[in-house]
Amino acid sequence: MNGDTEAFGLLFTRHRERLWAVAVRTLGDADDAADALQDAMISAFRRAGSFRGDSAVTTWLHRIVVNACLDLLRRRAARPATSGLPDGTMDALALTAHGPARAADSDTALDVTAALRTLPPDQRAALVLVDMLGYPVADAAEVLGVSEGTVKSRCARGRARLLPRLAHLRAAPAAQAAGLTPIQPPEPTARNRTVTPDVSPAEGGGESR
Amino acid sequence: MKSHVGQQRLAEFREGLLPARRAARIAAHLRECPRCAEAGAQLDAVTAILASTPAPPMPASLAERLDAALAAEIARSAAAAAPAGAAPADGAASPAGGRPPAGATAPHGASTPGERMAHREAAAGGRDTAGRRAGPSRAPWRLSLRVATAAAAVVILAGGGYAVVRALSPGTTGESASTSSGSTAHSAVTGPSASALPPEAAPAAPGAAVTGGLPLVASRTDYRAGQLPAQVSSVLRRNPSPPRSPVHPAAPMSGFPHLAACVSHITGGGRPQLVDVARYGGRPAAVIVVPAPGTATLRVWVVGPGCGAQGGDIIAHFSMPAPG
Repeated sequence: MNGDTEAFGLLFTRHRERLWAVAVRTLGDADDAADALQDAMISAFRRAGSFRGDSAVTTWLHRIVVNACLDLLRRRAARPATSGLPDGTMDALALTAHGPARAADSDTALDVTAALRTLPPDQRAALVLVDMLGYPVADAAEVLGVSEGTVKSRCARGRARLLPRLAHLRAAPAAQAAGLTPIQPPEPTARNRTVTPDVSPAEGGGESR
Repeated sequence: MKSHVGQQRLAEFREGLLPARRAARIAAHLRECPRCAEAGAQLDAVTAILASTPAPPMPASLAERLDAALAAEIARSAAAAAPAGAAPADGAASPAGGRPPAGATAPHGASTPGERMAHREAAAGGRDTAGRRAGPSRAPWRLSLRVATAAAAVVILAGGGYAVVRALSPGTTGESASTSSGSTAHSAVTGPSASALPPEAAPAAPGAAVTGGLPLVASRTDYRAGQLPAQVSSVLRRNPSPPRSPVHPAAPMSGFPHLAACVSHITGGGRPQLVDVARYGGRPAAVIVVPAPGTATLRVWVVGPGCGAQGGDIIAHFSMPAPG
């Protein structure tokens, strides 16, 4: 017991910065993220005995944190929203990351946070893991408990929804460097073999006009 | 293919999610249509923007809060694993203020918004909702310290482990504490009689409970000789009202098997404001902060794991003004 609990404490502490990043990005609110992270930590501690090593322990911790975040979002959604964001939440979120000297970056962080909050939670969680934090699709799929095709689909839909909200940020240097290269369409035959998209026809955007 | 490609379809195409025939049509269209090719580039830009937006760092106050919550949860689970009547570590039988902040130990999903709000205020350095820093009522605290100290004395006899929880006998120790409230706890708990407490004198008393514990935090500060006052001030600011954790060897402070007895020895039975199980110069150390009565001065001890009922392993001792 003694060694186990100490080991858990060390393990959680080692990962908690990353877990925090997952939570605060998924929830878009520092206070909510703190609550979710604490809930997840306690939940993980209580379930540590049932952890059998069928997945990497870091994946397991991530899964518990993501689920805590999604639970919180669902509870929020079930309740009638009051006034949306508490005043200053996003300011605090952006300004804790950067000093005033990086006001432009803070604006970007604000815009990104606000845009992410418009996404359905599933898409948000996928984009946070894959695009923001750089997890491989396979890892994100394991964390989220869905197929890789589903992760890709959620990311694709999320990016499409974010596009009009973030288009004005394209002039940002980082985006310029990475985003404005000529399009290289993927090789369709090579990439379509193992695909299992969860795209429902009703929601599919389809070709316009 | 004449029609333009919708953004979502384009994003799915770029993830290789579309059936081969449709993907081939889109690829052909993109080769001819600058507008759709540009939309594809914009999707890449979305990913780039997301990737270049860092998450804010975890607030230090949250790190403290998580440490405290985990310590409380460990203590609670250890107490729950003990025989009935030994040591329920929740607030049911604790005096006001003896309970860790509600948000720190609430089961997953069970916290009420009110509890969370109270906890946020505490975590933000706000006031202590239980008013436990106002100190006129010292009796419960002294009692709880005695209980914890008696437990530590039993550990010395039994060699550690679960003996603490199993042997905790609040009835026994509470009685002695209440009947000797005029004397200093120091003599009562550090003398030979305390450590000579026979095991049979401490049976589990059904229905009794541990009443509080030490105001423990685990800040993970690595205290340094030249920075001690500043570091202590910082930890105090972040822990205006540390949860009182029942002292239990399974908690993170298990590297300090006699911490309760050590604290009691150092404070002379008085009330520490905070006990931080952390490091000093990279080595395990506990920092014990005690308000000096009647002054705005804090007395601070830094002790190593060897400190016990007779003191010992004291690394540093100094006084400092109480921070604002």
